[in-house]
Amino acid sequence: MLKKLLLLVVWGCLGGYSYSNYYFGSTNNAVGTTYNWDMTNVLPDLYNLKVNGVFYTYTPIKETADNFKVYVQNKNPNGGYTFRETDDWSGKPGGVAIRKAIGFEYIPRELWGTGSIETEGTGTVTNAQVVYTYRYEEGCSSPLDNPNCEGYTDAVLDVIPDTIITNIYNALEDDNVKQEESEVDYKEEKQESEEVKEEDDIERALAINEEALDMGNSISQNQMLQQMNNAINMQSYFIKNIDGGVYNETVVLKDKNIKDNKNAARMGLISDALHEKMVNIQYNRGE
Amino acid sequence: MYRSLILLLFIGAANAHQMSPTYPKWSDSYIDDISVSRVRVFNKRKDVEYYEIGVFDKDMKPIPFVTQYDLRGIKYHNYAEFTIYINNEYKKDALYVCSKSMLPKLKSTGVVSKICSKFKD
Amino acid sequence: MIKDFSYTLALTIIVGIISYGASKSAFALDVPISASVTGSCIISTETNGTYGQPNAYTLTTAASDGGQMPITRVDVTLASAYKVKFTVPNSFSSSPNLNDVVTFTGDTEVSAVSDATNMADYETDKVEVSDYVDEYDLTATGSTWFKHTSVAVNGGSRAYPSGNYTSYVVAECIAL
Repeated sequence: MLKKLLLLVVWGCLGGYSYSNYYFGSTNNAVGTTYNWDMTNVLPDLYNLKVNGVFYTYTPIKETADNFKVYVQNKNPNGGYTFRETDDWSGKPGGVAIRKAIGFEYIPRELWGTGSIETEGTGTVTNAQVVYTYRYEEGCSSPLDNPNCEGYTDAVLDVIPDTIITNIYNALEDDNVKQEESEVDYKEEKQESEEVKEEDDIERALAINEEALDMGNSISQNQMLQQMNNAINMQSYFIKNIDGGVYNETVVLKDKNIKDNKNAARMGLISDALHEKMVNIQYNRGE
Repeated sequence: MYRSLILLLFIGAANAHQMSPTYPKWSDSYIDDISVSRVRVFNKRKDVEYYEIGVFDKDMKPIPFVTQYDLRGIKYHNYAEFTIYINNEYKKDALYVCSKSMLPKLKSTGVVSKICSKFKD
Repeated sequence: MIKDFSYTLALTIIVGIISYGASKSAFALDVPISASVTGSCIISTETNGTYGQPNAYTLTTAASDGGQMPITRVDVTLASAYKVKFTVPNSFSSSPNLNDVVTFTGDTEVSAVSDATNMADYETDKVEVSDYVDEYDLTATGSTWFKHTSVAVNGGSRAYPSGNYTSYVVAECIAL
């Protein structure tokens, strides 16, 4: 019962938690001495492996006039082909390599049957390479690696022992603790009663005092806070005195008198006289 | 089954040079008798840091044009846009705009790549 | 009789309205579908070449002589929109001082294709513009690999002076 309960707790804690660590890789050249290969020898034994691409290259050897087709393919164990690519070299010169990369959605390894390069017509294929790219997930070298692994539940149950012996120490049932506890309890009770009495006295005093009402009044509290804020001296943040020194006057008039400009007199006084005359003409003033 | 052709990105670290568009067009600029066009060069060549731009006629002879930088540094995995100004007098002869990679000296048998786009009306 | 006529008239009017509505709802609307198709040409250098030196006066990219052929890959996304032109080296871009005339030979060939049916004829259809320049019309979308050979023989079979020798293959992708 306890075991099942524990398992339930484990499942509850891990509910909704999922591993999503994907890793990618590619195989070695699948083509060996023959142009047929078993995918179990090509694809590595990794968890949840799915193939997402095929790359191949080869060089056809043929005469230009000959008909020649090359098929690069993988059979589907359920019938037909999982992958099949056709290159038609009919009427084309040989000797030029072909390189192709084909991508598709992730196809599980179970659907990848025997791979092969087949030819049709007159010609041969040389320097053939076929490489598969794949994705796999982390874990499952053992069922306990992650909850998605097959056999995870059974493996967890195997790990949990059948009988769980618990020996919980209850300090409250310890005689030594009980004895100490009783002495402590008495002191604490006495202290508590004194504190309660003191609190009662304070409470009564506050209840009588008018200031208690003010303290309880939220509006007056706000006002007090405001006054406290206003009282903060912000001047020191705004006013900064920089010691700069004094600039003394450097211009010195030797004579301490400014003499009239005689040149200006010739020009200025004449124009002044003329101006005066013009003004007087307007007002018929006597000169 | 969805199938697509992947351009062999996992074969090796290919260094690529690309320019677009294939067929740029001239448009009127804000200056009288001057036309303007734009091309973009993408540098995926680790061994190249500079590209040169040029405008040519049908015989690949150079045509006078103005651009801010005709030799421009483009970092790896970056692109640069070239704005080309040409006098309308030369516009009728201008057929190609090309970008060419500039290889540093003392580099044995490198490949200079040059891509030319064609002006079309 | 008047009642029958009224019924007939009402029915006629109703049928008329229905048929009118049907004819009005059967109008055609032209919805234009436009597209802008642009292609691109991407030149990639798969392999930078190196010169091997089988003897004192010969530099070559042949693998058997310790060299390495440069390989260029050209990707096009629009058929018959580009041609590619390759110029193999006909001189050193940098070298020590040479007193003799160096004779360059070289060639470009299709190394691999990504479409057997549409690209296998590229090599036979290429245009040899000159001894050093070859041109290919890229009539199919996909990738094409080109390999370039270069041999430089020093005049008079005299040994090359020591130093660095560089030369470039020029790959041009030109929109048609």
